[in-house]
Amino acid sequence: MSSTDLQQCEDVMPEDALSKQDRKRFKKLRKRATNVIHDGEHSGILMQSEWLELQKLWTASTSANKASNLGPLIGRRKRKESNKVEASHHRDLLAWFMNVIHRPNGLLQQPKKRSRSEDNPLRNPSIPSWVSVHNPASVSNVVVLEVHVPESLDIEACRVAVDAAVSQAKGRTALHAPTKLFQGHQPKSLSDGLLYFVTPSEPYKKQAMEGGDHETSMDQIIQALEDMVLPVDSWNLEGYPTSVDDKSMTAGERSETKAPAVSSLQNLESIPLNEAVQFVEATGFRIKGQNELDKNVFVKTLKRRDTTGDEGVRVFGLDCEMVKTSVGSELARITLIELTSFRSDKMETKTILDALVKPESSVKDYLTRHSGITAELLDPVTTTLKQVQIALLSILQPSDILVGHSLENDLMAAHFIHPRVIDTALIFRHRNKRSKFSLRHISAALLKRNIQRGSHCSEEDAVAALELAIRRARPGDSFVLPNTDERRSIMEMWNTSKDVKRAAIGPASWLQTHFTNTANGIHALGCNSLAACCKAIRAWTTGSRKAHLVWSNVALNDGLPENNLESFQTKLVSHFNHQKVILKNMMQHLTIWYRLIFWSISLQLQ
Amino acid sequence: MTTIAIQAGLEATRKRLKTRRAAQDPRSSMGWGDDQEEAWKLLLEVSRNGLVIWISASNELPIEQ
Repeated sequence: MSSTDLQQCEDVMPEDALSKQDRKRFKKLRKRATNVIHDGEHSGILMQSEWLELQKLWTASTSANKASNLGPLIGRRKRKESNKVEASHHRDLLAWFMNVIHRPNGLLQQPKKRSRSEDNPLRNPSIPSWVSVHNPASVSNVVVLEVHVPESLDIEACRVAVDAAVSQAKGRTALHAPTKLFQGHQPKSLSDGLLYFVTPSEPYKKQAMEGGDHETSMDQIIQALEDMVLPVDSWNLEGYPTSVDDKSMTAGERSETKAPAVSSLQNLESIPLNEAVQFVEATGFRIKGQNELDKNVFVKTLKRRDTTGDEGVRVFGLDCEMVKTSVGSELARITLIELTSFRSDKMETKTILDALVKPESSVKDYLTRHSGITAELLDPVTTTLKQVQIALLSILQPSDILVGHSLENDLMAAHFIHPRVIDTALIFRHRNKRSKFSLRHISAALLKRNIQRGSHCSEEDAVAALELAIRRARPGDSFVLPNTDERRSIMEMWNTSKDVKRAAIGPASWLQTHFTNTANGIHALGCNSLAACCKAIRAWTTGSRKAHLVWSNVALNDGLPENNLESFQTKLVSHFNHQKVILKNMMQHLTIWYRLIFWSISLQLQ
Repeated sequence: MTTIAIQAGLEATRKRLKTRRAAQDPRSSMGWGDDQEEAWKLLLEVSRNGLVIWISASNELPIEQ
């Protein structure tokens, strides 16, 4: 078809094919499609049927601006600009888009709030609170490009390359979101953060509290804590100190030696040292597997003769800091706090004992990074382990509950055995029953509190362990760590749906880890170079085999000459130019058909 | 709709973590000093803070970013 013929066709075409009613409808839809409101979750055209209607009217209208691009737009919601962004936000948004694509009509009902017990969190993903989406119905596919760069290459350089590509491609806008990709000390990849939902853990079954809906009392907390005490049968298995034989455990109770008086817990040095040594030597014992170089003996909580035994159950938190000496690990600091009250779901504690302790052997490593202990701190200290043992014996009764994290280490360091312990490392241990989480991790995950910033503080750790145990005991949420082993990929959301095409493009090892290790309908293409990756993306986002979700992974500056930042920018421009913006290209496509039809009609007429 | 997610230094961080674990094992003679710990923490932060860019397909709409 020559350009002259085309021009003749255009001269023959009617000025505007829209009726008055259609013009009105077109104006209304166009106004909605172009009126961006960043106040809420979404705006513009929300249903695919309306978007198709707009396309049809746009094509028919000769007055519409044919050179413009109209499509989806993502922006920051007003008044939410400062929200911190995490990888899970982008994951949720991707899952939301996939829902939009998959359920084109009637899909934009308000998603119900996900409950913890829902077994499929992918069913109703929601838009992050800082995001606003305009014209979501115009999205027909999503391409995710993971880019890994070496630490020597600044992310800022990549951002500049992307921005340059966006401005070169024209008709695009970019929303930048600096994102925290993972928590904790375990580095995780983009795929780990963006691809997976963690499935809810099984709820921890708590004992039902009698009396209906009322404030939890201290007695109820203590009653629940008693159920969490570590059984004596498990002490050996969990590394808790146990005596050589039963006789030595009861030696203290049979002993005639009197324990020295403790006048002040704030000043343990005031405890007469000779009397302390005498008492501990008389009532103490060695334990199974004790280091032969360690000459100190262990003592056990005794029923004090000066009490009636009716003080009730008290709850304490314990934490110790240790240093490395020629003997091994020795006590350097001990903190004991007591739970004094529990009111309005808040606990109050009091520090009963917080003392630095002089190790008996020469210190090889103060482990300052972890313990917070330095030589300057310990040098003037004269408090000994035996004085600490006497202090503990003066405070604790056998009926009291002692709470700590990996408490066996603290008790070994303090050379102390207590019959009723709660270990938060065991309460919140990994599902595999072998691994334990750190107190720092559990506090961050469940208490939303960052402890141990810098070095450890035994008081902070004791409070955290006690609070974890109490929150677990308290009626309400099951209070468990999310089960990160069982996670579901958003790419597998539509395993049972044949209509939804998904493709994964990237290195073979990455495909094996995330896509090809289970049976699913995901098309996987192994590509190592940027050029191959971009070519594959183009194949899967254009033409008849267009996938609804394409997930790809590339590494820049990884040694391959073609995988550099300049190539990346060039490929991006090409990618944007090839990606069809729906209204513009539909319009171009249909305009050509109209011209063809009129040309053929004019030929026939001739 | 295109999403570009960028992360730096992941492989280096993972390698350094392995070295750190081996060095901090009580049976190891390698040692792990404070300066190595600081370097490790910096590397961890580099890999933790990524960038995600959402590329929209529109030029007719007013940009409110």
